[in-house]
Amino acid sequence: MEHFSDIIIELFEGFGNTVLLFAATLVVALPLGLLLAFGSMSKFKPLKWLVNVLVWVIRGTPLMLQILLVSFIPQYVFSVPTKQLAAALNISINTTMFLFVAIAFIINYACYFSEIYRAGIEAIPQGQYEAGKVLGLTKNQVFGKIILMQVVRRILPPMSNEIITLVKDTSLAQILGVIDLLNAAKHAVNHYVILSPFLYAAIFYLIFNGILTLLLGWIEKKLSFYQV
Amino acid sequence: MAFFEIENLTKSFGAVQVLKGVSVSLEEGQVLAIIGSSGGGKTTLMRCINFLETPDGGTITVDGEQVFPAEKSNKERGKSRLTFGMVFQAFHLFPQYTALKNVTLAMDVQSENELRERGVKFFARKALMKEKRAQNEETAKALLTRVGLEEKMQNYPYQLSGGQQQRVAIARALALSPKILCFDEPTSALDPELTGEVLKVIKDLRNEGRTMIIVTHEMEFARNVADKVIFIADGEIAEEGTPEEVFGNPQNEKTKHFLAKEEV
Repeated sequence: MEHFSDIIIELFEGFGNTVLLFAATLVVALPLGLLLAFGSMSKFKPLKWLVNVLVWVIRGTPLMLQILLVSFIPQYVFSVPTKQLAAALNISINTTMFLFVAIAFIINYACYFSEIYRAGIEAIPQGQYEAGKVLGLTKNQVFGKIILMQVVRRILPPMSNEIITLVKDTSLAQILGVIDLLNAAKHAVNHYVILSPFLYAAIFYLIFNGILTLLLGWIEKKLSFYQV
Repeated sequence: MAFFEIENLTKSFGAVQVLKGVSVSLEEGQVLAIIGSSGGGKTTLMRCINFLETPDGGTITVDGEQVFPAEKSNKERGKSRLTFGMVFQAFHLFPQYTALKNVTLAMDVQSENELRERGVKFFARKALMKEKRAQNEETAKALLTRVGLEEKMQNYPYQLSGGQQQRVAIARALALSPKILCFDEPTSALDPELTGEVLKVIKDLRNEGRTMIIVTHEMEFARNVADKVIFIADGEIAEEGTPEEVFGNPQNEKTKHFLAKEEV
């Protein structure tokens, strides 16, 4: 236990990156996923086709591959080395790597979310739209005032699942050297030659997911004031 | 020209012509009952009247104003929907809102639209809406009381029986004071012991002089409540007249056959 406080401080630093990646992915991928869902239900065939192909590719390949791909694109496609890119953006290499990871995560999760949204939207009976229409509501008003909340309620359980998975997926960030929680633990294990940092990391993940589970459960309960 | 007039309305789904040129008229304050066997086109006719389907041809005129085809922008077209109120067979109440909110929702949206059209800016609008909401709530409470649901205003649809839900749906349709109130088989989804309370509300509305169009399977009800009955078969009006004429002395073979089956 002699290095306990050092280890915990290091893990907290990693945990910060984990939470940042988690939050950035959620904040951008949740609305982006809804847009993709609209695209996949569009009457404009080329758009629908494009979104469906994107979702198929993203869901059909490993997230780790996508992270690597994103990080290689500047150099291999645009001949801009990462160092140069970082300098141009006036950010550190580490931040650049974090950005690559975040971009891959956002695209990946937006695709998964879009499928959940789509299933939720399609599950709402046509009669709800028609009832709104005959009351003189516009399409947007029907969606915003009648459909959306029913969709949110329906998709909350599968969304919760994805959100919990996202917490654990953040550990993939270490493929680009980002110091996330698990990577920090790995460093500590190597550095101090003890196994306990893995245990501590596991406890961090469990507490974080425990809080999320409680929060999502609470929201689910809040939305269960009505039945269908 | 009559208050409500449909002229030669046609509608096809793919190769199937569901409405083959339907013409019918109705005076203000009268009740039109549409009867006929399933698949005959009565629900399609009702959906065309309410703009849930776009007719292929023909015209619809209400109170001297042609509402279809209307050479108007989409926005105004939305408005012309309020010419009609619609009550569905399966109620289609909004499950996440109380009975009261189901009724006020469209009124609130309407109030806000009006303020927006008058150019009232966002914050001023939100402030004015408070007062409007309170007014709309009073109106809604009066409507729900009228359909006998003063005790159930704060209940969610799932807490109400089918008959109560349908009465909320009627109050909701009345909220925007439509010129014509439409019913698409309003009691077909109800248990027999619950149809009475809904039919009674419709009868009361008739006695108040509301113009109504009712698609129904309740022959006895159609006979009692309607001023005019049309029998639709194979996308055409096979028989048209007063209830006495259609039920008492049908001329068309299809009508006779249908009424014999319905045992009226």
